[in-house]
Amino acid sequence: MSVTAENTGLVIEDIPLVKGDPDFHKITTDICRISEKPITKTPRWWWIAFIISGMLAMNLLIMIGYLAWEGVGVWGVNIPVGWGWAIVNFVFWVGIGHAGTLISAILFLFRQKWRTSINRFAEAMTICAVICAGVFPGIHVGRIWVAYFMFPVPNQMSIWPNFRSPLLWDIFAVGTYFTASALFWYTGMIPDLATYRDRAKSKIKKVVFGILSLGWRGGNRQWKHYEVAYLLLAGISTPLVLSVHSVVSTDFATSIVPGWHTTIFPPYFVAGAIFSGFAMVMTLAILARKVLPALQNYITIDTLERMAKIMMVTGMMVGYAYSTEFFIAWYSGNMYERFAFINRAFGPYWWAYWTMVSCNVIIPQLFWIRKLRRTIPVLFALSIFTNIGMWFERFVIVMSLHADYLPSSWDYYKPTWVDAWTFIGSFGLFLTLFLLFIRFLPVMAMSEVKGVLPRANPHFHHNMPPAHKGEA
Amino acid sequence: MQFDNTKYEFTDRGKAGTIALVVGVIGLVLSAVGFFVDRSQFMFSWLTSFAFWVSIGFGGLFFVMLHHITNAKWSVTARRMAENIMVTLPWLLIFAIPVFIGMGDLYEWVEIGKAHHGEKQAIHLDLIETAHASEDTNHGNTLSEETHDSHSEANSGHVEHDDHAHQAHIDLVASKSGFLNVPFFVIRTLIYFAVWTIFAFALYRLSIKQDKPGFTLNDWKRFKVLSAPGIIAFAFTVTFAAFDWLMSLFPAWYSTIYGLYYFAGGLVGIMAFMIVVFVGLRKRGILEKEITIEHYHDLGKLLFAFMIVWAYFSFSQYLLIWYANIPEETIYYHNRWTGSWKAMTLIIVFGHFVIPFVLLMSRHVKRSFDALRFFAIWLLVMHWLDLYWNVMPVLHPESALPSWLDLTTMMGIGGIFLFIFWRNFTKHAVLAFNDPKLDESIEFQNI
Repeated sequence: MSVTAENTGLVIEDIPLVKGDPDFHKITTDICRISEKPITKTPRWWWIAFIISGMLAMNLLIMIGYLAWEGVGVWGVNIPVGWGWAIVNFVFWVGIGHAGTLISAILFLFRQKWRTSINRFAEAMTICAVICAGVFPGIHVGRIWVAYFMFPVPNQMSIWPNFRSPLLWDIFAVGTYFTASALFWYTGMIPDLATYRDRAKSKIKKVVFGILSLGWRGGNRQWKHYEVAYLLLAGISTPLVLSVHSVVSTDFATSIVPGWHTTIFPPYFVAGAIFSGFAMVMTLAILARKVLPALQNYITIDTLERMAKIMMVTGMMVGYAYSTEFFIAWYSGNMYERFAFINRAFGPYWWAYWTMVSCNVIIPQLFWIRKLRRTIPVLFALSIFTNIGMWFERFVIVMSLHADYLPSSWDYYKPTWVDAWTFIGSFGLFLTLFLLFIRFLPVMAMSEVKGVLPRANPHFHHNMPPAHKGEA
Repeated sequence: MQFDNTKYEFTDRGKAGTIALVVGVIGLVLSAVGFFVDRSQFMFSWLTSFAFWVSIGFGGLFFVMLHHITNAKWSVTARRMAENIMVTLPWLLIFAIPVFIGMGDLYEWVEIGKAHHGEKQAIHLDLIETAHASEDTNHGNTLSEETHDSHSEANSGHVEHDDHAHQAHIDLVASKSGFLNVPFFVIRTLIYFAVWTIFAFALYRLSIKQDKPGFTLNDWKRFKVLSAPGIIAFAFTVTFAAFDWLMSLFPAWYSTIYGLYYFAGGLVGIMAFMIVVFVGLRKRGILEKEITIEHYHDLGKLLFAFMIVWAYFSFSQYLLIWYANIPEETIYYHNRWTGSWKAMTLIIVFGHFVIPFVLLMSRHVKRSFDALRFFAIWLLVMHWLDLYWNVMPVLHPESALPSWLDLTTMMGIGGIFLFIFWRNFTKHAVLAFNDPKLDESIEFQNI
C-alpha cells in the first residue's frame, strides 16, 4: 500500500514482503509440500546432508565417550589455560541461538513484519543451537557421571552448588532460555500444525499432528487467545535475549582476570550473540533457498538485505566494545590490563585477534554497499566470515588465560584432535536436528506470512482509498 | 498561544517561551552569584545540570537518526519534536564554558597534571645536574610515567603508608595525563559538539525542506545517508563525553560500560521529555488527532524499555564490580554507600527502576495521558538524580548535601534550553506534514 503526500507528491513504496503475489492457498501448498513428501520421495540432497551430519553427530558421541573414558587429558587444556575449546564452543552455540529469539520476540514487538518468513526456522535453529551448547558444560566437568551436581539437586550429603557461581547461573539461564524458546516456537507453530493435520492423508500423521495441534480449529476466539499468548511469550522472551548472554558473559567478567573483568561484557556479549546468530540464520537461509526453491518468494532478497543490515549494526556494536575495552585498558593505568590487551593484539595469539577483528569489524563494512548486500554469494561468504570471526572472538577471550599473573606458568594452548572433532561433531548434531526439522515440520510460519500479506487486510477487496489526515 | 490546525503552525507563540527565558535568566543570574559565593558547589551543580540537558539534547538526535535508519513509520508525527530538541545542542556548548573555566575545581586530574608536569621538568633538570647519581633510578620511574608498580613500592618503603597510597594515586592519575589534560579535554568537548551540530543541523535543514514543494526522492534518501554514519559518530562522541565529563571526576576509577550508561539515561530523558511536552500540547488542543493514543502507548513503551536498558547497564556495572571486589573499582559504590548517599542509592534503585518497572508495565498506564505524564516527569527527576548521584559524591564524600545551586543551575540551563526549544518549535510546522509515511503514522494501531 502506498500513500501519496499532499504537496510534494513524493511516493515511497513499501517493499513487498512476499514476491509473486501468492494467495493463501499457494502459501499453504508451497510450504506443506516440503514436508508432505512420502519418505521414498525425500530429495537426494537431504539424504546426503543427513547422512554426513548424522555421522558427524555420531562422531560427537564417540568423542564424548572417549573423553569420559580417558579423562579431560585428551583435550588440550592445561594450566594456565584450564578452559579451552569447551567454553569457546559453549559460548559460540549459545550465541548462535540468540538471533532466533531476537527475530521471533524482539522484532515482533518492533512490528517488523519481514520477520515472518524467517522466524520459524530461526527459532528452530535457536533450539538446535542451545542443545549443542548444553553439551559442553556437561562434558567439561571431567567426571561426567557427577554432572548432575551442577543442578541444585537435594542430596544425601546436603551439599549444594555455590549459588554465587556464574556457572550455576548458566544452568538456570540456559535452562530457562531453552524452555521459553521451545514454548514460544511450539505455540507459534500450532496453527500450522493444524494445517498439517487437516491435510494429512495417513492415519498416523492425522493422529500425531492432531495431538500436536491441541485441537486448533482456527476460530475467532482461538485466534484472540492465541495472539495474546503470542504477545506475552514475546514479552517474556525479550528479556531472555539479553539476560542469557549477559549471564554467559559473567562466566568471564566476574573473575579477576585481566581482559575478562570489564563492565561492558554483558551488552557486548549480547550484541556479539545476535551478530553471530544472524550470520548463522543468513547461512541457513541462503542454503535453504537453494535447496527449497519455493522459499525464494518468501525469503526475498530484501529480507536478506535487512538481515545484512542487522549484521552490520551488531558487528559495529561489537567493534565499539573492542575499541572501548582497548581504550579503557590503557585508561585504567593498570599494567595487567594494559598487558592483556597488547598481548592479545601483538602477543602469541595475534593471528586469532586479527582474524576476529577482520571478520567481525572490517569485512562486514562491505555491507555499506547496497549492491553487495543484495548479492547472494557475497552475503553467503560474509555470513561465513562472521561465523568464523565470532568463534574466534570467544577463543581470543578465553586465551587471555595463557599469560596469567605468574610468568613462569605462561604457556601456549594447543587443541588436540579430540577438541577439533568434538567441535566438528557439534556441527553434526546441530545440522542433524535442523535437517529433521526441515523435513517434518513447517519450515516457515505460514499463518504469520499470510497475516502480513496485503490481501490479509480486511479492506483489500474494496480498493481502500488512502485515508486523508483531514478526515482522521 | 494560538495554533493553526491546517498548517500545523503556531500563529501566536504564547508566553511559554518568555516564561522559560525569564526563568532561565533568573536561574543564570542566581547561579552566577553562586559562582562567587561557593565556587566549587557551583561547579558541581552546574556540571550536573549541564550533563542533564545535554543528555536530553543528544537523546533527540538519537531518536531522529534511529527513526530514519529503521524506516520507522509510527514516529513520523513525533519526529519534528525530537528534531527541535536536537537543534538545541549547539547552544548547549555555551554552557560548557563554565565547565572549562572551573575545570580545576571539578577535576582532580587538572591539579595533578599540572604538578606532574612541573615535577617532570624539575626532575629533568635534576637529572641533568646529577647525571650519574644512583639515587636517580627512583625518579626515573616517575619520568617514564610508570604507574605505581612494585618497584616504586619497594623503593619508597620508608614513606608512611597513607602518603604512599596518596602518592600511588597521584602517580596513577598522572599516568593518564596524555588523555586527561586541559587542552585535550577542551578540544574533545568541542569535537563532540561539532559532530552533534553537523548531524543535527543537516537533518533539521532537510526536514524543514520537506515541508515545502520540491522535496525529492534523493532528499528523502539523504535522511538515511546522514543518519547511518551519524549514529556511529554519535556512539563514540557520547561515550567519550561520558568518560570526560563524568567518569574523570574520579580519575582513578574506570568502567567500560560508563558511556552506555550515560547514553541510556539520556534515552530515558528524551522519551520522558517528549511525553511531557506532547501531553502539555494536547491539553491545549494541539496535535490531538495526529499524536494519537497509539503514539502515547508507543512512546510509553519506549520510555519503559529504555528505563530497563538503563537498569540493565547500571546493574551490569554494579554486579561485576561487586563480585570482583577490587578496591580500585568498588570505591565508586563505596562512596555512594556512606552517609545519606546510601539513602539516595536506594531511592535511585527503587525510583529509577523497581517502582516504574512495576507500574509502567501496565497498558492502561501507558494509555492514560495523566498517568503517563506523571511517570515521564518522575523519570526525568530520577534521571537528574542519577546524574547528581554520579557527580556530587566527589564534592560531598561524606553525605549528600543539597544546595540551592542545584536548583538555580537547573533553572538557568533548563530555562534557556526550553526557550530555544520553544522558539525553534514554533518557528516551523510542528509536524512533518509532507512526510510520505504520515498517513500510516496517524492510522497505525497497537494490537
